[in-house]
Amino acid sequence: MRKRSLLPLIGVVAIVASLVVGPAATAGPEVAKAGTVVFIHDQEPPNLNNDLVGNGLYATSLVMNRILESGAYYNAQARLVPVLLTGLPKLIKTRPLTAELEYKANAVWSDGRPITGADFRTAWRTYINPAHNVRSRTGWEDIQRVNVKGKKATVIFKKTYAPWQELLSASPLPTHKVQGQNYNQLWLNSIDVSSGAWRFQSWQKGVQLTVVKNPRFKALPTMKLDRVVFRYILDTNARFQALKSGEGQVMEPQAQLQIADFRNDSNFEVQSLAGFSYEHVDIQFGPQGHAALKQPYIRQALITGMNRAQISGALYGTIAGRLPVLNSLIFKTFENGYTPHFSAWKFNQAKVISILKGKGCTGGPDRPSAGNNSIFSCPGVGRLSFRFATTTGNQLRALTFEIIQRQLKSVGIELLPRFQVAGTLFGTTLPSGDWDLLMFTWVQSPASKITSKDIYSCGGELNYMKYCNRKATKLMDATAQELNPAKRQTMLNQANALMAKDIPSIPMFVRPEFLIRNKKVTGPKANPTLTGDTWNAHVWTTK
Amino acid sequence: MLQYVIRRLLYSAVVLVLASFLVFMFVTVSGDPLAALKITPNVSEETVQNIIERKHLDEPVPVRYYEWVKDALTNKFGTTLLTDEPILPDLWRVMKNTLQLVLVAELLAILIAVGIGVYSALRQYSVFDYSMTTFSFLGLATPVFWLALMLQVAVVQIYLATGRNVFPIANLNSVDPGEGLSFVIDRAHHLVLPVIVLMVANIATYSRYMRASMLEVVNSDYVRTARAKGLAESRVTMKHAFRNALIPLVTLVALNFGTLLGGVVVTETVFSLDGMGLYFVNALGTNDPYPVMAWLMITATMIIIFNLVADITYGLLDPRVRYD
Amino acid sequence: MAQPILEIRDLTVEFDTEDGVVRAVTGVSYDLAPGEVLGIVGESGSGKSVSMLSVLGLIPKPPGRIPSGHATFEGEDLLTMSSSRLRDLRGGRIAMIFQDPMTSLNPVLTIGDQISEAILVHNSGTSDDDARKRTVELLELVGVPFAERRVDQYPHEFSGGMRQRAMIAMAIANDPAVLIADEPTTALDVTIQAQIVEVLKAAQRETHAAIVLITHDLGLVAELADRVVVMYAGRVVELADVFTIFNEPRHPYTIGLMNSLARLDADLDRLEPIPGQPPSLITPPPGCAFHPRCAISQGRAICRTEVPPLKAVGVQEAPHDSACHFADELANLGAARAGTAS
Repeated sequence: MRKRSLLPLIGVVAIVASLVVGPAATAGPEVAKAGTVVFIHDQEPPNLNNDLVGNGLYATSLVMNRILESGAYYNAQARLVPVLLTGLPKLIKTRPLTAELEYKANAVWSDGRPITGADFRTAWRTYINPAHNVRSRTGWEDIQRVNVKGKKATVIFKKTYAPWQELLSASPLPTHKVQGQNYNQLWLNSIDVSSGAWRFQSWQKGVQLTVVKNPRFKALPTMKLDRVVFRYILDTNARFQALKSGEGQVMEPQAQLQIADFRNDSNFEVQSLAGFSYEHVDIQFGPQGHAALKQPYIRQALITGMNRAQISGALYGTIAGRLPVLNSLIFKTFENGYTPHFSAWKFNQAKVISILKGKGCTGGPDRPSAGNNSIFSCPGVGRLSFRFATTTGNQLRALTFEIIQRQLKSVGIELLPRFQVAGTLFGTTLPSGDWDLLMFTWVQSPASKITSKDIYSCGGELNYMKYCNRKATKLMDATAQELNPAKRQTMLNQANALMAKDIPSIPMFVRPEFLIRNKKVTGPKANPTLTGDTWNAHVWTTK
Repeated sequence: MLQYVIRRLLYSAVVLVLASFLVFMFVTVSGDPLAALKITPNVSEETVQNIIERKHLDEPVPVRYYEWVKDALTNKFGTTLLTDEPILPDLWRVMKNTLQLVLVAELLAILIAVGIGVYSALRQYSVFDYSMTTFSFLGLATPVFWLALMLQVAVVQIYLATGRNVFPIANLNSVDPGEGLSFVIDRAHHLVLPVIVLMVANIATYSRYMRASMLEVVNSDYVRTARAKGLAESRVTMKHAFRNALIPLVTLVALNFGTLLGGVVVTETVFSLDGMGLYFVNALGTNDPYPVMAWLMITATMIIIFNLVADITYGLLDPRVRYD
Repeated sequence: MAQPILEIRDLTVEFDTEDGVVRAVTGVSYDLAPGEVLGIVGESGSGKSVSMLSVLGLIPKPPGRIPSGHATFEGEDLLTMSSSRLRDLRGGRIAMIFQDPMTSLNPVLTIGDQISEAILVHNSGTSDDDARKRTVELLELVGVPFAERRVDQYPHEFSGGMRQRAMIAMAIANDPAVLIADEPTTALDVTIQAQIVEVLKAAQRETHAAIVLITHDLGLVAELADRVVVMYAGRVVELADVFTIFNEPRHPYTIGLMNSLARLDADLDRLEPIPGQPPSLITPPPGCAFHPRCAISQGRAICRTEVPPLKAVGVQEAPHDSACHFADELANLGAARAGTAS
């Protein structure tokens, strides 16, 4: 008996042992062939066609932006630089808006066909086709006509589209591959053509996607590496472990405390830089928001009672160092033209109390105190108790809320947490206007400011705050039609100054983006725009 | 027996239909799958309309359910909502991965647990017995995600200390797994940690069950009769005690297995294994009822089948149980 | 007695429990002659089953142990022989029938399988077919109808009486020299009991085995036994042939047992139980274990201080032993009382 029942046990041990001894005896760390870089990412593309609805994800663009390369893209300094184009698109005429673009002589598709102006026109026709489930037609539907001649294309607009230069820098699509195809079914699981540094090789769904060097890419220096493998690891902790153990060499983590580990590790380099995403707290002006919020002094009290510098320090201190507070709703701290109009509202707890008391509010503390429990009530608007909504399950947001709540409680303003799942928060709550304060992130690009009107103009498509300032609206609407960048900058800053007085939204800080690279790989440089951190993959090398 | 099976299957079909309607309704009303789209700037109106028409999103729930049933039966469960991609190929892929993982984990767990349970029962109150009891309690009390993470951390620490990657800590295979046998070995290598994690809780449960069952049997009168007949102790244990003690465990394993085929979400998430559990969670997160329903149908069918298998096996093993 | 087939001498069996050491059997000695039926009677807990089980090596050790004693079977001491030799004998030359045939048979194996197993274990050269043939023969012998068909049925498909018949068949499969029947009819109803008695008789005719009949049913003893051993609190208190035990009991316990029987030939208003409770085997009463319940002890000191030895109270032609200090006082008591008994 004893022998019989031990036999299976021995058998099992043998199996397990063979699994350990066999492969472990021959394997080193998991880097495969030389000339390969493994890029760890947290989300797998749903499919490879980034233009379709349900896509448009950063995860997809990491891969596809170097397969369907752009005419021009934003480099690491957020400047638009030509890639496939000979130079940035040129303005020919303003009425009607007409511009011209020309592709480089050495810009070819991976099968040898040259990239021509017709390929730009193909892109336009594909996007405006109503049968195609394209995510966004904005800008493309404003194009009247595209005339092509060889490598040149001349684009004539129906009406003024301010971000035209960015639009015309978009990727050309291969006419010979796209014509006659149903774009909805094209390039879902593979793509056999490329205009960029690499071309698609294979995709093992759920595990990894492999791209290999495109030797025909001459518009920029040809890629040095043989291969880049995108490995998809969904669990945050597992990603960090994988990076540590060498199962991957490059990663773009979200802001997580584990990053601090890597800052102290000499085998790794952590790059952190401010991106185009910024955290902010919107204030509800509509009928379903708290009546108090319609009073300017209340809003002033709120922003004066929040120590935004302390928050960003608490959140990102160990992983990104000190981040500057954001004091503009339109420009980012590192951008040309950034004017910190909101810095007029310096953090001052005593001032909050004096503002409120000055307007006749009662019931609150006389002095700011950490243990305070008395909440102000103000004439005609009631008790200063506001619902504070944000996404649930986000450690940093929870921490942010706690700090704000504590800061405001000390001066007699109460915040009630209303955390919700992202789907409900953004799908139902935000558009309905049934909230008081809502904190979230706008993910933007360098050209987003041109359409600030969407968010802040009276009746703007994304104006969920129901905020309305006629003067600011006029300025922002005009910006969207203005083609002169300098003029735009002035108008936007004027609008920002007005909003700094109104305080429709409290800008918090620009969210830092991170890139960790194993020092065995040289070249990766973080790019704050949606061009993605693989923008310069053609110069990467590995030991 | 045949009548019994047919009757059970008929009842199960009713349960399946009811479950499918309820789940469809819950998923549909729990959130708008187009929510994210609607607040994203610059999303094309026409495209959103296309989707609404294609998936009948403006119709009431029962109509949408009917459309789903049609799609499921005639079009292999249909396509996903936003990206209009066929569901079945993805589902088969994740099903196979989960099957691999769960099958190996279960088989190993059973082998080890039976050995431990039998030996513990025969050597009751010995050091082995007590230590196995402790191990069982620890195993049952340990949260799966914690154990998984600890194993990953341990492997990484070993790597940092020695430069050796003893086990990979994520995904189903390495960057270049090779072909044929080399691919199989690579896959096995990647499944070692997840299998260990899955095994721990199961071994704990099964070995307790086996031990209890074995103890009951070993002290029974018919085992005494077998000894009185002059049988060698090993024969008494294996032919008379062990076989009888195994019966309740077989039922438990069969029932458990059916549920496991629906995926083991936590393990799959921590190790990034492309399996059924993860598929379900992701589908649910997008509020897209079609993949959720497809997953549900397969999982429910598996559970029903294995429930039936458990009952039939029990009837086969124990002649006192008869189904009419 | 001619050479006894089984000699038990000074057998002591103890069990370690949480509450203390249980002395289940103390200093028990008796012989079994070939072909005779020896009845062992006593209450539950008297040690009658344990003495037999321990001799066959069927008590779990631990917690049980046999600190002293001999059990000689055909010249070999069962208590000291190797376990493989003991296994050879068990089920072969010495076979046992148990009390509850429902739980004593493996529910998932067929009756035929279990009987054939007994045959095959002790006759390794036998083919499966031959074993099956013999099994059917045995079932017919013990009176199972349609044996050819029923041999493939499971225990739960047999009635209580049939199951016991099957157990008997299993026990006699290898022509045992000693057949131990531990409460063979206790779990059966009365009409079936009578049938089983017939089966046991048939079994004995067939095998000429000596039967050790362990029971608390005095009626069964009266019908089957040649000699009787009376046990109380782990000791033998009386030993004689069956007539003597019933007609001239010479131990207060035996007398108490006889008095408590229901009788067809007497008009009784109430049955007469033996007063008191069976003694604790962890801390038995000092001296004679029966003294707290004894009618004739009358508080005499010796009953409380000395364990009465088992000594002869009969003549050589009719051996009669009793373990009572005052056995003589009981001589006429039994005879007078049992006058009308047959």
